[in-house]
Amino acid sequence: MMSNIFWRAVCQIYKRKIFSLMTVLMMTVAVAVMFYSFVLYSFSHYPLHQAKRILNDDVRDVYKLEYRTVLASVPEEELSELCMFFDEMDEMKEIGKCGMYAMSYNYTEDIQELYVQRNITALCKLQTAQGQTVSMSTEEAYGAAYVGSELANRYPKGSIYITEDGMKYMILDVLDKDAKWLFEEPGASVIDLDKAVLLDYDYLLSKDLDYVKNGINNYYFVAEEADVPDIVMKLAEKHRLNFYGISDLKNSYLSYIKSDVLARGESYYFPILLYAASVIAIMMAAATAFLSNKADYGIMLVNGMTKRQVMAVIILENLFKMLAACVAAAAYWFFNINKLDSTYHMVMSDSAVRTAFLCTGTVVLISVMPVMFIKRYRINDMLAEK
Amino acid sequence: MIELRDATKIYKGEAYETKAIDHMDLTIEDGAFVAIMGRSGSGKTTLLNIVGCMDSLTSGELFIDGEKLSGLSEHKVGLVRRDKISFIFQNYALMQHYTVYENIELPLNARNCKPKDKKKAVNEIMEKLDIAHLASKFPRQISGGEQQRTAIARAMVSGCKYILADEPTGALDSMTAGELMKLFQMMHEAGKTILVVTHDNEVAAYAQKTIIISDGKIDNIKENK
Repeated sequence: MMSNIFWRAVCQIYKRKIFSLMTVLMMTVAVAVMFYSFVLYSFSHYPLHQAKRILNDDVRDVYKLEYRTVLASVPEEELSELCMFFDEMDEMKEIGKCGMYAMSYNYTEDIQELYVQRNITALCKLQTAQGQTVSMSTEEAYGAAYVGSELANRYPKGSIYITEDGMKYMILDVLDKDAKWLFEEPGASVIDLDKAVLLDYDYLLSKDLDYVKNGINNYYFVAEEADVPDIVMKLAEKHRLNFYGISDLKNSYLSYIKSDVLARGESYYFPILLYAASVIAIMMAAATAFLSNKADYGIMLVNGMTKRQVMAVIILENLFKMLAACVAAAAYWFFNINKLDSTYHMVMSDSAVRTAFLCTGTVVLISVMPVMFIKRYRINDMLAEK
Repeated sequence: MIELRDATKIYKGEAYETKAIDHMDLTIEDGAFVAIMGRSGSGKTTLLNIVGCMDSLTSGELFIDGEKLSGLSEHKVGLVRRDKISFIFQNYALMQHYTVYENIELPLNARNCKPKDKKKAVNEIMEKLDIAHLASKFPRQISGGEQQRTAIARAMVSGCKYILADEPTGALDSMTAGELMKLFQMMHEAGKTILVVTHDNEVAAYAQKTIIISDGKIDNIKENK
């Protein structure tokens, strides 16, 4: 029975030539605005998402943000000095850009304050000596260094160097060319010597770069004190780092959010308004399409179609139009993504699926809406236009 | 057979109440050709809408072929309308973006009709009414008389027993109206029950019986020769 109804409805749609260009264009614009509102909304919550993840013990993206934040303080011309830690300059620039995002939108403090350094404990447990016949106890190994391939000759594996303040470092390994340290679980990567990468803070500090020093000096660690062994505490003192209890930090984070209402309002409420406006525009387009075809629906009713069949026709017509609009809007953004600020690209991958799902869900609901109109009309009223 | 018993229809507005049909009793036998006449506002169109299941009674009962329609769900009433009743309107009520062929095919789309049977039925009707040459034209490309023939073809193709026409010749000249009424006679001779609402005595003369309505009540019933 239902298959018959929909088959007949499809025949009707084909013959009615529903792709009224203006209606679809209007819907396309509205859906494109709706997509944009989702991106803006996701963007406004991005650092907050990151902060929430930190508090929920998910450290992976925090490390990404941490390094970005550090490098954000380094001018581009000086970044080349640090290229030993990276295989490609582009990778560093990419990190720097993301870091710039964090700084330009004043979320640096959020991120820096909520940084979680959980691999310190694992790091200090490293006792493996490699290269030459030097062994290191945990008390001596205040830091382990991995250098980039360009510096392999200057700092061969196994060699030890001592900084001005007497800290010993052993070069444990040479960076792989394809090191993907930005995206790996820090705790696991430290144990895997072939792939593990670690920034050496002392080395960075030994380079006379004010920006680097200022960036690193802004670090804070967040941990439960019970988890932090003595070695870590010494490292923290050495680098003049502060520990915050997680529960204290949560409270300060929440009060920070509440106090910054206006800044968040700009990027929080505006997308909501945009979304509401786009929904209203789509509803108006659907209602206009229904009202302009009301007489035709009346003719269908008079000529034997039941109300259920006509409702099926209306829903399918609207669905086709709106899905066409969704595809057109998605294609528009796909080919014009460069028009968005590059900082939005960071949230696009996170939010693309959610955006597509919510937008499609919205338009499907709206396409069902006109059946409410048909329930109100008598057949005579629908035919009255003719 | 169509039967109305103590039928009343009241339209209520914000500040008014209009009794379009007032305790009317009416019986139309199978195979009858009945014209309904009356002044504007007498309730002719309302009567037609109620008999055609496009509107519901405020009180009273409507029976079609012994089946009581008052109290049935909207969906079931729609099924009765689909299976038993065809309409012809003064303004033709054609779909402007459908061709003549597609307009005539419309009632068959709502029924469980195979494409081959549909094509055969539509072509037969078009030949019968001499509009086969208009199959691929749109309503805006044909004359009023041709449009009304298309509407009549659409009403006939469904094979419904009852044909209700609301001033079918209202927008046509007298010559074309005469030709159209001959088509109605043809349908009547084929066994259809026809109800025509009209202002025109000449049109009413084609019917077997004329019912004159005034203020929602039957004033007079005339048998025509």
